[in-house]
This record gives sequence, C-alpha cells and structure tokens, in this order.
Amino acid sequence: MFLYSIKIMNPIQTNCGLPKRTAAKGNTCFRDRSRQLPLWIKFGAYFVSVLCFLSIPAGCNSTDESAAPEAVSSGVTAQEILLGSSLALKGHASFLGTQTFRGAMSYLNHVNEQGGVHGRAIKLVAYDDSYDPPMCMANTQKLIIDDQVFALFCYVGTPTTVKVLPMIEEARIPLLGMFTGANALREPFNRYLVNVRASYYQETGAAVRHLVDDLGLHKIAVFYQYDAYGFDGLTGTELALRRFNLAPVAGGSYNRGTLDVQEGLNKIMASGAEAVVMIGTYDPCAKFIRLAHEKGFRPVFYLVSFVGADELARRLENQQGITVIMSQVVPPPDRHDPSSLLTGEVGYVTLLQRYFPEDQPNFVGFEGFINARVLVEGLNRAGASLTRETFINAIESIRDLSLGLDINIAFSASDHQGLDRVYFTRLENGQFSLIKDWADIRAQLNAMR
Amino acid sequence: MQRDVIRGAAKRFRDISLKNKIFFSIIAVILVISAIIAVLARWILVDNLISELELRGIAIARTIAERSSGFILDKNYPELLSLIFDEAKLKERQHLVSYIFVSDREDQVLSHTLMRPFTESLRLANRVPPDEAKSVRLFRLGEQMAYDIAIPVTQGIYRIGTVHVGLNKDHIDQLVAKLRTTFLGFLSLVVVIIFVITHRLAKYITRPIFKLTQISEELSKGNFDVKLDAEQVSKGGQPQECPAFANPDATCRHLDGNLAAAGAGDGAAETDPVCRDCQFYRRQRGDEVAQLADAFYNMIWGIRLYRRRLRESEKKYRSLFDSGPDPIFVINHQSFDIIDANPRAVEVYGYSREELIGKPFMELAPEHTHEYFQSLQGQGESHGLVTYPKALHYKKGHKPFYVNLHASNTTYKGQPAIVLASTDITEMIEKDAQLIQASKMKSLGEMSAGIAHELNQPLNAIKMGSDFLGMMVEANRGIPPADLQQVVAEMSAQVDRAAEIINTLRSFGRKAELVMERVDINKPIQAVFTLVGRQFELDNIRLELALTPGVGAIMAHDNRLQQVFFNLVTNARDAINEKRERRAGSPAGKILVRTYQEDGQVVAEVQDDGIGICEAVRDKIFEPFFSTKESSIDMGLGLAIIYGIVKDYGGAISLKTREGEGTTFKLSFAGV
Amino acid sequence: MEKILVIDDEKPTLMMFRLTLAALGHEVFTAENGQQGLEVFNRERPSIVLTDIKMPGMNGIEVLKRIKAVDPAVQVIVITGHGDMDLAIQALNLDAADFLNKPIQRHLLEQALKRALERRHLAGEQGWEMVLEPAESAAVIVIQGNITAKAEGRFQAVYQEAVALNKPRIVLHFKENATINGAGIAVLTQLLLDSQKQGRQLVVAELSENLKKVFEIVGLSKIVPLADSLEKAIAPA
Repeated sequence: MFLYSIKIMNPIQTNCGLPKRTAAKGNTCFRDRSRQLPLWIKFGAYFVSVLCFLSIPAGCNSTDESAAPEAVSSGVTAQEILLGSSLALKGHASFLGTQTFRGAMSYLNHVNEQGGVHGRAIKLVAYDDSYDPPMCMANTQKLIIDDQVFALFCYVGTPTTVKVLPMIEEARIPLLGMFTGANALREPFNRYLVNVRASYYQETGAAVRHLVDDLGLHKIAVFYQYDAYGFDGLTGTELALRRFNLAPVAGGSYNRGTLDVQEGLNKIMASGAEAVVMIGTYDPCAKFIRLAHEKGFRPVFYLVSFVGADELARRLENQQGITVIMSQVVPPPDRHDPSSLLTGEVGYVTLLQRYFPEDQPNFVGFEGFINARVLVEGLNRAGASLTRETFINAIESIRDLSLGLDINIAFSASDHQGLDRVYFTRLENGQFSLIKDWADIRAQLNAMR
Repeated sequence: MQRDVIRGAAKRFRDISLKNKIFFSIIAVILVISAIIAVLARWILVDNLISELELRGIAIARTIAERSSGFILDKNYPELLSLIFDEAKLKERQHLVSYIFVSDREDQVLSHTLMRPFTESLRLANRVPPDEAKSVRLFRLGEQMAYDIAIPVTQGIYRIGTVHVGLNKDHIDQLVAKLRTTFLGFLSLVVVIIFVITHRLAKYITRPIFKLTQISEELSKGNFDVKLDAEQVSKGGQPQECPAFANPDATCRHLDGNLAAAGAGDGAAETDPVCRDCQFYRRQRGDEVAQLADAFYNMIWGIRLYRRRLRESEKKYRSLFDSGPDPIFVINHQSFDIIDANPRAVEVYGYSREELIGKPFMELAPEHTHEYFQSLQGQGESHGLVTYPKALHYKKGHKPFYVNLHASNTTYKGQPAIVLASTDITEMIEKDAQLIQASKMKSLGEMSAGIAHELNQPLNAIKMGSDFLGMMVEANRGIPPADLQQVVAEMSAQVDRAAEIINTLRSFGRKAELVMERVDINKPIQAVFTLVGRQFELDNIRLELALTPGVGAIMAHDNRLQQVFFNLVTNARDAINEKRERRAGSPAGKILVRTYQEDGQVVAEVQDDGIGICEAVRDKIFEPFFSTKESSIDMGLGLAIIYGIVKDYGGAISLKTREGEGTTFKLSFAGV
Repeated sequence: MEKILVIDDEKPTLMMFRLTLAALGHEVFTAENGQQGLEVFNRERPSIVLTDIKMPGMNGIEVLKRIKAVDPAVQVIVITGHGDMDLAIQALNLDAADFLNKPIQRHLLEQALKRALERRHLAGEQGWEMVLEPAESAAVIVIQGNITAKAEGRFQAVYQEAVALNKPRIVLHFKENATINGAGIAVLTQLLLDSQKQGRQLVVAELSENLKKVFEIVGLSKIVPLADSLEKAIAPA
C-alpha cells in the first residue's frame, strides 16, 4: 500500500499539457522529464517505505516478558525485607560461609533492633550449599521461586556464585556481596551483581607487582584449585606477569574438596620457583606449605584472600621459616586498631561480640560485615518504595561512602565494585599482619639465600 | 465493468514512458521471483528449522535424559538442577531453550529451570505416551510459543521420569524474521540497483530515441537542418561539399543504387561514382542504438539529397512548363477536364487561365479527341507518347486552327493525368497549301503551252469557219446548205470545247477549301485527261482511262486530287520520254489510269511503260526536292506533294516498278 | 488553181481549210496525219502543202523534211500555234516557204498562198533576188525571194555597192515574197553589225508581219530600225 501510495504521489504525466499548436519548436508533446520529481526523491521515498515495511514485523518479535516494571518487588512487605543467601555453612569451606554469614548478621541484627530500614526488618534466609555449585543452584532457585526473596546476599565461592548467574539474570534479582573476586562476576558488567570486595585480578596483580618489583622475584609459580576459582586466579596471575613480560614458571593444581597437593607441589618444586602464588582454600594450601617446607622448598608463598587467613594461620601455627604473604581486600580487623568501624558502637568487633560472642573477629567476617553495611546503605537510599530496580539505582548512587579505616565504598552506573584496595599481610607470629615495608622482606629473603 | 478497468489500466501502462515500463516490468518480475523464492525459502527453511530445532531439542533432552537418570534415581536434585541449568543456559542455548524441566514417573516436577513458580499447565502439557520415544508439542507459554520436547528418562526399560525441553519458538521466528529482513533488505538493494540500471539503460535508449523523435518532428515540418549530435557536426561537412548535392544530376551510388536495381537496369548503377570517403553516409557501427542513430542520419541525408533533386527537377520542369514555347495542358485522366495550362496556352487559345481550368478539353478540340484519348488510356503507366497530327482546334471565338497534338501519361499532384502539348501548325499548313499551289502553278505553267495549243484549235476552227462564211457572203456566193450546216455546227461545238477546257483549268487552279468533301475519284482523273490528253497524243503518248463507273467517293478536295493525278501522269510521260531518249526507236508510250474497288477501298492506279525507277532511288522518290530529272526542269516536289496529299486523305500510296519496263503507282483510299 | 494538200490532226480545222481553199478555187486534198499526208503527196504531187506542225505520230517538221526530200520546189507552209516561233524558224531553216499562226486570218492565208505561188516561179532560178535601187537620200536594196546562205555573196556585193553610193542611209526593202532562213539571217546580222561599226545608218522596210516576228525573235529588230513603208524608211529622220 505504501509503495502504491508513493507512486500516486508522483503522478507521471503522459501529456505535457501544452496544446499542440502553442508548443514551442523542439518542445514536442511527449513526456517532459523536468516536470517529474527529481530521481532521488522518488528513490528515497521508495526506500524509506520499504524499510518501514520491513521493520514492522521485525519489531513485533521482541516481546519483553517482564517489560513492565513492578510496582513493588517480591520479598518486600510492609514489615519485612526478605533476603536470601546460599553459602558454605558446612563442609571444607564452612568457615568462609559461616563467618561471612555471622559477620553480616551482626550488623543486620543491629539494624533490625534499631527498627529496620524504613520500618522494614531485614530477614536473611541462608541455605548451606557446602561450596557445591549444584546445591547452590538448588538453593538459589528455591530462594527465588519459593521464598521469593527480594535480593540475594552474601554468596561465597566462585564456582557456586558463577553457577547461579543465569538464574540471577533470568530472575533479574540483585545479588550483593559475594565472597569471591571472580572476574566472571565483574566482566561482563551485570547490573544485578553488586561486588564489594576487590577482584582476584586486582589481588594477584598487586601481588605480582610486589613480588617482582619489591621482592625482585621473577620465577613465580602458581598453585591453584582446579576449578573456576583457581583458574580465575591463575589467569589473573598470568595477566599480571605478562605486564612484566614474565610467565609462571610452573603451574600445579588440586581438585576442589581434596588435599591432593603432592603432584602440584612436585611440579612447582621442579621449576625452581622463587615464589608461589596460591589460589585455593586453607586446608590444601596449608598442606602444600608444610610439605614444601619439609622438602626444603622455601619460596615466598603468596595466597589470595579467599584462602582464609585465620584458618590458614591456625594450620601453620608452628611452622617456622616460611614467608607467607596473603592479600586481603579488607584491612585486618585488629581490635587494637581504633576505628568505629571495628570497635565503634556499630563496629564489627562490637556487634560480633554481641551477637556471636564465641567468634573471633576475622577477615572473612569483617568482609561480611561490610557487605551488610553496604546493603543497608542501599536499602536506605532506595526509600520506602523499594523495588529491585530502585535498590540497584540506590546502590549505584553510593559514590563515596566512607566506613572508616580508609575504606571507601564507591559505585556508579558502570561500576559495581565497591572496594578496590588490596592490602598485603604477612604471617608473623601466627597472625597475619599488614606489611609495612617490603624492603624488610626482601632483605630477609636475600639473607636466607 | 472489470474489463473496462483492465483495459483502462492496460492503456495507461502503454502510455507510460519506456524507462518506467522497463523499470516496472523488471521490478514486477523481480518481485514475483522474490516472492516465489521467499515462499519457497520460508517453506523449506522454516520446516527445516523447526525440524532442526526439534532435533536439537531432542538431542539436548536426550543428553539430559541420559545424564540425569543417575540423579533422578539418587534423588540428587541439586545435581539435576545443575545439569539442566547448564544445558539450558549454555551460552547461545539460553536463547534457544525456554526452559527445561524433569519430571518423575508421576509427572511430578523434580527440577526446572524457570525462575518463577512452575506453571501447572506446563507440567501435563506434553506427556509422552508409553510406547513413544519422544513427544513434541507446540503450545503457548505465557506470551510465547514454545515447543515442548519430552524425552523419557529410562533406566533399562523402565521409565523413571521425563525430560521436557522447552524450545523458544521465538528463536525460530526471529530467525525467520531475520531472514525476511535480510531478504527484503537484499531485495531493496536489488531494486535500487535495478532502478539505477534501468534508469541508465532507459536513458541510454530513450535519449537517442527522444532526439530522433524530435528530429522526426522537425523533418515532418520540413526543416532538414537538424544536427544529431556534436560528433556529426564535426564529421560531416557543409551540404554543398557533397558532389551529389551540389549537382542534382550527378548520381550517388548510395542513393541511386536501389533505384537502378529496381527499374532502369541500364548498367549505369555499376559505374555510378561513390566518393572514396563519403562524408555524409555513415557506416553502421556500435550497438543498436548507435546504429539506429546512424541509419537515421543516413536516411535524413538521403532525404535531403532527394529533396534537393526533386526541387531542382521541379524547378526545371516548372520553368519548362511556364516558358514552354508551345501550349501545354494537363488534363484529368478520366474526365479530360483541364487541370492546368501554361502561359503559352492562354496566349494561343485566347482564354484566360481561370477560364481554361475546369473546362473540358473537348471544347477546344471537338473532333477525334475521344478516340485519341482512349488510345492513350490504353497505354496505362507507360510513358508512351501519342501524336495526333493536324488536329483541328478552336481558339476563343470559335476560331479554328490546326495543331499537332502530343500527349503522354503522367502524374499531377499524385493523381494520374495526361499532359498535352499542341503545336500550332496553321502557318505550316498554309505554307503547305502555298507549296501545293506553287506546284500547281508550275504545273499550270507546264500545261500552259499545251493549254494554249488546245484552246487554239477550237479558236482556229471558229475563225476559219466564220472567215469562210464571211468570204462567201462577200463574194455573194451561195453556200451549199450542207456545208453551211456543217460549219455552223462545228463552230458551236468548238466553242463548247474551249469552254470546257477553260473550266477545267479554272478548277485546277483554284486553291483548296479547308474542308474536305465527297469526291468521286473518277472525276479528277477525267479532268486531267481533258487538260493534257491531247498534248500527250502530240507527244505520241497514249493516255488511256479504265475507270470503273461508280467506283466510289472519298473525302478529299477535288482539285487536289486533280493535282495528284496530273503529277502522276506527267511523271509517267516524263518516264516514257526518258525511255525514248535512251533507247531510240521505242514504240509509242502508253499511260493507263485505272480505278477499281479492292477490300472496301477505292483504288486508283497510274501505269506507264516508261524507264522505270531504279532500286537506288526507289526509296527516295517521295522525298521533297528529290528528282531524277535535271534540277532546272523539276523542283522535285511533285511526288512529295502527292504523298502529302494522299496521306492527308488517309490514303496509301505504293509503287511497283521495273527498271526499263515501267512503273505503276497505286493509290488506295477509304471509301465513304 | 493549184493542188493544195492540207495536213492537220484536227478534223474541224481540216474541214474549214477544205471549204475555204475550195472556195478560193483550189483543188484540196486533206490528210489527218503525217503518214497519210505523205502518201497523198506522193500520189497527187500538189504544188503547195499546208501542214500543222504539232501532230501525234509524225510531226509537221518531219513531214516537211520528207516532202522537201522528194521535191525541193514544193512550197510548204507550216501552221503553228501561238508561241511556236521556234518551230517556225526551224521550219524555215528546213526551207519551209512560210508559216501561219493559228487562228488563221483569211487575208494572211491568201497572202501566203500568193507568195507561195510567186516563189514557185522563182524557184526555177536561184529563188531569190537582190537589186540596188538608189533613191534620193538612201540606198535601197530590194530583196525578194528566199534568202539563204547562197545569197551571201550577192548580199555583200550589193551592200558594197550601196555603201559606195555614200548615201546617208541604206534601206533594205524586203518585198512581200521575201523570206529568210537562218543562214540568211546570220548573213544579214553580220552585215548589220558591220554597218553599225562603220557608223552607217541602216533601216529595214516593209517587212511582212511574219518576217517582223522573225526579226523580233532573233533580236534583229533591236539592232536595226524597222520601217513600215519604204517612204518612211527613205525619208530623213
């Protein structure tokens, strides 16, 4: 029809309109092309009409299932905001999960005591997935469909969290505070994922820099858990080393949930590595270090934060002559370090003591605490009409939230990573403490040689 | 009604420009082809896509079925969930797979990948019948259409559950839409290209045609000075440079080659010149459009040459017509009305041009014209010339005069016509008459001695008789009555004789009337006999007449016929005398004049036994001024005049001769 | 009363001749053509023959010749039509005695007959005569008879005699019976021309009509004046 209408708009003149007698010499009575529309106009009109014709059906296809924004999200009632979490409360990573949970709950309980957020109490439902991705999936599905939580909170572990990404994307449910620095949660950018801690890439990147620049070590091997988490770390390390035109001299691995570190250790020892970047959990890592020490292998051991500093320290209590450096994404929750974040009224130490008196403050719990702090901040900012979208927007509006201890939380529409700092600690006297001077370590290393 | 619409549309189609015709036609074809291709493609594609989809879904479902059997048996639902989620959300599959769910034997959902409460209808929507290996159903899921592919999970032969893979039909639809978009886009592109091409092509074709049309218009208005294009201007020269153009009589092989082949065939075409480097006729070169332009130009040049020739020829003939020394008429082919007349015709015939045009030609030439023109008509297209001598025409005022009429067929203003030229021969006829008269006078001169002699005899007899009577009376002697009677009677008779001779003479000498009359052919012969009979006797030549009485009359003039026979017998006498001179002692000569009828003709013969006519001069004797006698005696006009007079009367003259023995002249006329 | 033969192809003419000649007292014989004429001549031997010149068959000249061959003394008078002077002179040359023109005047016919008879008498002699008769103012030469070539000598002699007389004029007097033929005319012409050269005056007198005609035809009348009578010729101009 369109095309036809176009044609009608350009009437083609079969009669030049001049009476035969008055036609000037040479101007005969047939088509006078100057009277017609210029070619390009006709052409353009046609083209446009065709395009419109084409685009009409194409447009119909994209039906948005959930196009209409919700007025009020599920999981939010007048009284309560229901959050869900699936984390390793049991199993070989149970420390990580438990402490994360308790750290967060410390703050949340406090908030609830204070009347909640905008009159709503925050309830956190947590299921144990034992650091098992399938279980995490099942838990998450349950949380979304059955429990109809408002948002997901405090997930632990790379394989588990990464596994539920499809669910999160389909359900369009926010997930805030993951105890993992996996790159997959940061790239590609996902609006519904709110990372708080720095990424493994950042951790390993900084570590490698220190190892190479500060400690002068070039032969660096990587020991990693044979799963997404381990590979992520490995990739980060490789990327970091590449910047120095270096590559890992060796790579050893172990399977998640096992302690079969021997093979990996042998590989790394054979390479003569000066430093070993370790991406795993505390048990296998500890065993690796002990065995290496027994074998007389004395590299600098660097571990990422996820390993779990306290547990690792506990397992390496009696080891001497080992250089163990661990990167942390939060500063040490040293009770002796005066900060309201820690020891203030709403400090981590204070609240932990209150609600979970049997637990010692630790990095992991501290991180959970900070997660909760960010969460509440977001809920606050979202206001009374709380929807998932408003919540995310609220988070993104946090530009510079200072929690103390040089901890600045910053988000934006394109930045869903709250913290970017990496702290380095060294195992000394059965405790991980911040490294103040790398030169010392270097000197020590040189002395050892 | 419909037919009118169709006809109207068809007419409108015919009227649109060539460029648009080409364009629309091609577009129409392309659209039709495209539509067919699209339909075919869609049909093949969609069907195949769907079956592909099914297969994929089936494959996915089977994979899941196999791998999930353990989990189902172990009731390891997390693993099951992980499995089906992996399968469902594996990179690109997430667009394809709408959902996956696994149900147990009782169709209770064990695990599913939906992120919302499981729809009850879905659960039972597609059940695999017990014996089937699969089941595929299309149904609506929310706002989408999905294919549910159900594969049973078996452990051995037992079914322990069912895997349902929901495939997003939208995926296919999108694919199809993409296909359609691509297709249409491509089509548009093709249309655009075709548009440009046809535009160019049509322009290429129509521009020269447009130009040629323009030029044709110019030509039809008579303006031949058109320039086709810049190239022609530089190549061709001024028209005057062409030799055939400058001189219209020169032939150009290019132009005249055909004409020669068709008609003349006199071999001239082979020798007609062709300029080595003809500036004006072009070889055909290039593609059809260029060839058309070239041929067109050649045609124009040919037309110019031809027109020039025509104009020159027209000028030539127009000037001939206008300045012709003789009257020229153009008359209608059928009605013989005058269509055109030249100035001389106006002058001669005394009518004005307006009076002449439209006048029937018969008015000017009443006698004989009808048969004459009919004979002309019979000649058809040939350019034969028909001559009608000594026709009697009438000027204005009914004044007669004699003309020679020539006529031939022609075309005048596209119609067949007859062109006539009439040459005034009155003067000539008068001269003829004068000549005859002169000859007659000469004859009379010749005769005068004889006539005198003839008249002398009766006079003498009368004189002597009267003297005798006077003498006798003077002497007072008596005349014997018998003698007196004799003398007196004789005197009277001699007077009569003299009178007769004088009458004959007078009639001989008379000038002929214009109009012919019925003449009994015996009469003039007898008159001649009267005049010269006795003289011939004195010459010892016997003039004998054998005239058939009532042999017949002919349309002639009496005294002219006398002239004819006088000349014939005189020639006969001369021939006899010549024979006598050459051969001494010849017997007395004899001239025999006979008249008789033969085949309806009136015939007169003059036979002598003179010297005859030798073969050499036989053909020349009728020539004027030719004579076998000495020139001072004879002007040589006698036989020529006879010939002329005989011909005037529509007769024929022939001769038989034998050298040394005699000659016979035979004249035959149509009797009336 | 003489025997006269008339030959003519015209019957009416013959009849008229016969009647007229008979009325004059002569014996007339007629013939219609030359052949017949000769037969009659041989049979009858007339003294005078009148013959028409123009006739079919044998013409008059032929007849004249034949008759003169038989009898030179016969007086043959030829009859001519108007304008036939050539024939007349031809006849004279053949010793025809005279000629007559048609239509014939009666008195001329009688004169001719008379002269013919006179000549017949003279025919025994030389047939001609020339005598000098001087007069007061002229020398007159009288000429008679048939002047032919034979007369040339005598003519010259007489002429010289006339010249010797030394008269202002010399007159040639032709008598009635004088005839002259071609030769005679030639002599005469010569004579006349000589005298003109010498400046002498010459006059011819009393020519008969016929001779006058002859003179005119031959052109003599231009050379010499003609006088009708002797008196006029003699009389001083």
